[in-house]
Amino acid sequence: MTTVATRSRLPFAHLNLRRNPFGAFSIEDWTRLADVEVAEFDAMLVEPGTAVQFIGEKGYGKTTHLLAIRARFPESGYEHIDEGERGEVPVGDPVMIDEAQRLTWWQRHRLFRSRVPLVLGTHKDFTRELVKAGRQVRTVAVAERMNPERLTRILNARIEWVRRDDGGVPAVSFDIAAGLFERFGPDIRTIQYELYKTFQKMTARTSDVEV
Amino acid sequence: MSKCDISIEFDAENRTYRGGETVSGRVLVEVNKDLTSNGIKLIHFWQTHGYGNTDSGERIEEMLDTDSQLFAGEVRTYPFSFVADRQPLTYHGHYVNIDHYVRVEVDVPWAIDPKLEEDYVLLAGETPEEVTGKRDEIIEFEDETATQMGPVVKAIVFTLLGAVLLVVAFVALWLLPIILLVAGIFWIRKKMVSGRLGDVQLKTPHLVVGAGEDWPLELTFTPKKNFLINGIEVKMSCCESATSGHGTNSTTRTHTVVEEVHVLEPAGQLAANERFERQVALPFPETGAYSFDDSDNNITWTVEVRIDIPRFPDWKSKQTVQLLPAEFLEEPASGDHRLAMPAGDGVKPESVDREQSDPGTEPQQPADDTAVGIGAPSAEVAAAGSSELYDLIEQVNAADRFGNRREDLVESWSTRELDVVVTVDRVSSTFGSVVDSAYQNGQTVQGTVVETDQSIEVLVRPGGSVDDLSRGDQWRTRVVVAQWDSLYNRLVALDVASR
Repeated sequence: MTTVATRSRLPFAHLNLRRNPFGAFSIEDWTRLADVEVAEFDAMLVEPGTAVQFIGEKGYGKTTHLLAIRARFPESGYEHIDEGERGEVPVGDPVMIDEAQRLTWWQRHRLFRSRVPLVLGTHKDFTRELVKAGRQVRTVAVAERMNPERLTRILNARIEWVRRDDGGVPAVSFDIAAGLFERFGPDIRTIQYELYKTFQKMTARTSDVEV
Repeated sequence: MSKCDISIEFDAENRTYRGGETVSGRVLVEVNKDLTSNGIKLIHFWQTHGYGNTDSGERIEEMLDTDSQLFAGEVRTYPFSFVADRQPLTYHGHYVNIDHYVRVEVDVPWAIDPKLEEDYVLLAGETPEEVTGKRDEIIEFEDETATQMGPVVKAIVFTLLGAVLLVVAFVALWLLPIILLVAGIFWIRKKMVSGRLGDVQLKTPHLVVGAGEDWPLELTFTPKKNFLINGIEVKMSCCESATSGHGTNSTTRTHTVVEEVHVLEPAGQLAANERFERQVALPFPETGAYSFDDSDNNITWTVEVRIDIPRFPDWKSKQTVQLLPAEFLEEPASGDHRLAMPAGDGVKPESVDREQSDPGTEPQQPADDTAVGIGAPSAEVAAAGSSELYDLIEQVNAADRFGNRREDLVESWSTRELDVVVTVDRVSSTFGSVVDSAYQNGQTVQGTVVETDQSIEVLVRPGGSVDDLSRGDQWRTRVVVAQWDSLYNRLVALDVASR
């Protein structure tokens, strides 16, 4: 694949990786690595007047679900509303709003009463408002969709994604992932930070990561 | 099996290049299935990775191949070459990493494009254009990041920000008493400190410093009262900070890369009306953690001076310093032929100042130590310098930089006349107080003693014939050393040839 060379200066070459697998990834990579089941929403989201809302604490995977759905609907319009900003409702089918609790009252009023299918990532449950606006609503608690098996897959997929060459790379065993799940719950962000620190300290390639 | 396998081979065996060098190699595309390609593109760029969101530089694209039909079984080879960036350099830290990449994408219509990215190591090489040798202000690198705002956009943003602040200030008038109270506390605190320390003057003439270089600092004040101190310290630190996420979901983490504390004055008593004066040169470490400032990833160097007074507010001052590779701040490259020219031949050397060099020209090879230059001065120049002066320089460098040893050493040599050849940096008028009034209103020649890195300042009497000297010239003269300037690590000498 690449020139055989002295690689001591290349990042994480000692682990046969290109970088720390638990650092921040680009949206593109994040979407590609999303390990969430969203096919079940396809049928609903082609019907007008429907809404799917993903509810959960930060770091639990709301954005990951939205990005995975976005990849399945090329006509979708996605907007992440940053703190303190007045986000614009995008044009698309479906319309996808991340951090929907930051929509203004007027934006919610107009958006919820439109007929375009909606996907929301939110800390606040909008079921009442959506139903009142005549929408068919499905609410998904993202925390309930995480389990040690999925966590093991997600963590190892990140490691594989930054693999440098053929050959061994470190792996997170099911037991380690289960231990992390027990300790931090479905807070993937915190789990990834723990592993970020672990990988920073790793000096030699080992088959299993120890936390 | 993917439609094709891409591999990138670098010509440099260890994938290591210096800024301004040519990065070259080959791209191999091994076709597994017949396919139509809308082109094969090579992109090179720098990018951060680690805990923080990704910051990246401009992506420079080059087409390796246009529309073509690729057939299963064939292997296509595309040579590539481009000039490496001069900065930022490769850095691998805790939260912040900076790497340079070559990426190849095969554009396949209506399918996922096969692509491959490989990293290479960039070390300090050619000096970026923004580094002109000026050290008194932080250098803003003209980075071509996608997020960078143009001057007009910046002006609009700042105007809007100002307007918003005005509105907020108007609305928050009811907060005025609290603001006044806090400001009052700060004012009282400041008054208390100045009531003891008087007017504290901290001079840090350099805001830009090279890794491994000394950084001059001068602290002076005259206490108004007798009082005890826990000490006067200078804390040098380097921190990485990286921000992950956005808005309320964002988290910024910092990691201390370097923290060194130097004691300027140990615990003891300061006497009223007794002037405290310290000139020191803080040694910055040899490190690859050069200053880096981007939206979500930063490497920041600071120096904090603190006068620690027991049971009393401390005096402190914090300064951000920009650490660059020492190579960027060195004198003209060692291949510079001016250094080999016999002095005083009346022929002006060709100007090759960095700021006038053409960045678009072919990259230069790294300086060759065997070339005529600093490493191999001409016999004429070598013979011209006084070996006595070199002895002095050797002794000065060996002496402790924090005591008065260097000053004392230079003073002990002040009765001897020494020959010197100076590589001229600049000539300026002499202002202010000088060590000998006969040199007042004369001129000052600054430069380095040839064959060494030793900085020297030679004061010339009024009417001395140094007007014709320009940067890079070699000036031979006879001097007596007058003092050691610890602020700049420089010899100060008086020209006696023009007497």
